[in-house]
Amino acid sequence: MSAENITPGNLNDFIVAYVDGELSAAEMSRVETLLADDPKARQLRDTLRRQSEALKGLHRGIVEQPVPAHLIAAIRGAARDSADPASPEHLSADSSSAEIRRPAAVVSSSGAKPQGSRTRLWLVAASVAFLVVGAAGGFVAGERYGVVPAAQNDWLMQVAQYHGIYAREKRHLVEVSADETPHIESWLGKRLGRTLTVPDLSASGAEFKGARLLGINGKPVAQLIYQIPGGDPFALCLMPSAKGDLAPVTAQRADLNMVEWRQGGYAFVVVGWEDGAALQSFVDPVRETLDL
Amino acid sequence: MSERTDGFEQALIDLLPRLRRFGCSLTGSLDMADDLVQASCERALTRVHQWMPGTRLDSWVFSIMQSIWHNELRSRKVRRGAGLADTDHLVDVSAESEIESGLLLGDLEKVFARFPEQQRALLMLVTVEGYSYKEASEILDVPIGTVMSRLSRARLTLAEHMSDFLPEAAPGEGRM
Repeated sequence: MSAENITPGNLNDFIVAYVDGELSAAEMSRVETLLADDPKARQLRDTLRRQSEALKGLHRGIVEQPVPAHLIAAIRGAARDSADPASPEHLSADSSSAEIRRPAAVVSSSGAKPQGSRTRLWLVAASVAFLVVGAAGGFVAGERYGVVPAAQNDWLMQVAQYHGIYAREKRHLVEVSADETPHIESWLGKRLGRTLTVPDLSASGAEFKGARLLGINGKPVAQLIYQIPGGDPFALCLMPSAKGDLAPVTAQRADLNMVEWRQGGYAFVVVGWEDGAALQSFVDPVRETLDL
Repeated sequence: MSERTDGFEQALIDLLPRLRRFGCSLTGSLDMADDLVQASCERALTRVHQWMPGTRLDSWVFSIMQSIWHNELRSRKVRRGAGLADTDHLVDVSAESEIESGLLLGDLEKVFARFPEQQRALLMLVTVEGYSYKEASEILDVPIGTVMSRLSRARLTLAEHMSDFLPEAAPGEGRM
């Protein structure tokens, strides 16, 4: 194609490529000359530009949904089968695969929550393996394979998976304990790029136990862990977010309840086994301390 | 498991949301998309040594998806008589984004769902995934001229439908 082939009669056939930035400099300038004399074509150009913006949201709902566990399990299974033709029976807790054995040990030592079927254990093992590998090499892998990470990975699901693992730990519930609160505030504040004051939830009966630093989608996530004496631990997680503000909404992932909100460039979530209303009651005191 | 397969597997898992979205564009249904994504990831894992380091993994998997869909799964769907109309559950658009773009994306998605699958796949690769025409032509294994004419046809058709639910632009509004 050359610029001279573009005529007032076939201009429309080239406007799409023009809007998509796919024309050569000569072709672009030819299209622009013809557009100057053609108000209807200019209108079409504007419509197509708005269309480009609108189409970026096509099927957005799908990337915001959690990925079905069976797909992740199938990839893990296929990878293992191609490396080791052992039978799928080995996916359970007594797996002979080193990769599965380690997380399975975490699962069996937790013991506190009701035991599921083998399938359930299998999925837990798969998701824990996901986290272990993810933490160790996920982001590096992403760069190595030239992959643009999904813009909207479901961070709530990943928060839930982390919580499901760590909140069942007794001795290793936190990475840095509450008696080092000033250190937690400066350390995690630095990682998040903001000032961080640990919210005091003692008026609601919850005691601050300490904190961990997690990584989700390559971003630092501060996890502050609290506990009402005798109850299960719950956590407040916060991470930088490019999305706009969002008023608190409840959500559920795995067997955990959550309240999520976004404010001033950060996403927050309170996560735990308490019911949604109980978690909601922590939101106001947290926001008083943390909203920018 | 070799170190290579290990990281490769994780990279595939990180891609899943986007593979499912592309699968929906190609197949017109989330169930078929998941079957296609699973078959494609399994194929990618058995052919990991055919993938050339330094090239984009996502493009490679998209092209595997298109090939499996075209050569294997599509005929099964036609035999089963599954239609392309069941896309309503795919339309999940926040009010926020509609206001931002000034468009009713839900309506666009309904028109989109009626396009031939090659046009849907192309629109997804170019407008959503941000591939150039040339890259899209390689992924879908069609000549670049075909990419241009299919995209042009699809987007002009969409533009006609848009005028049904877009406020008419004010006369003389088009600025250069």
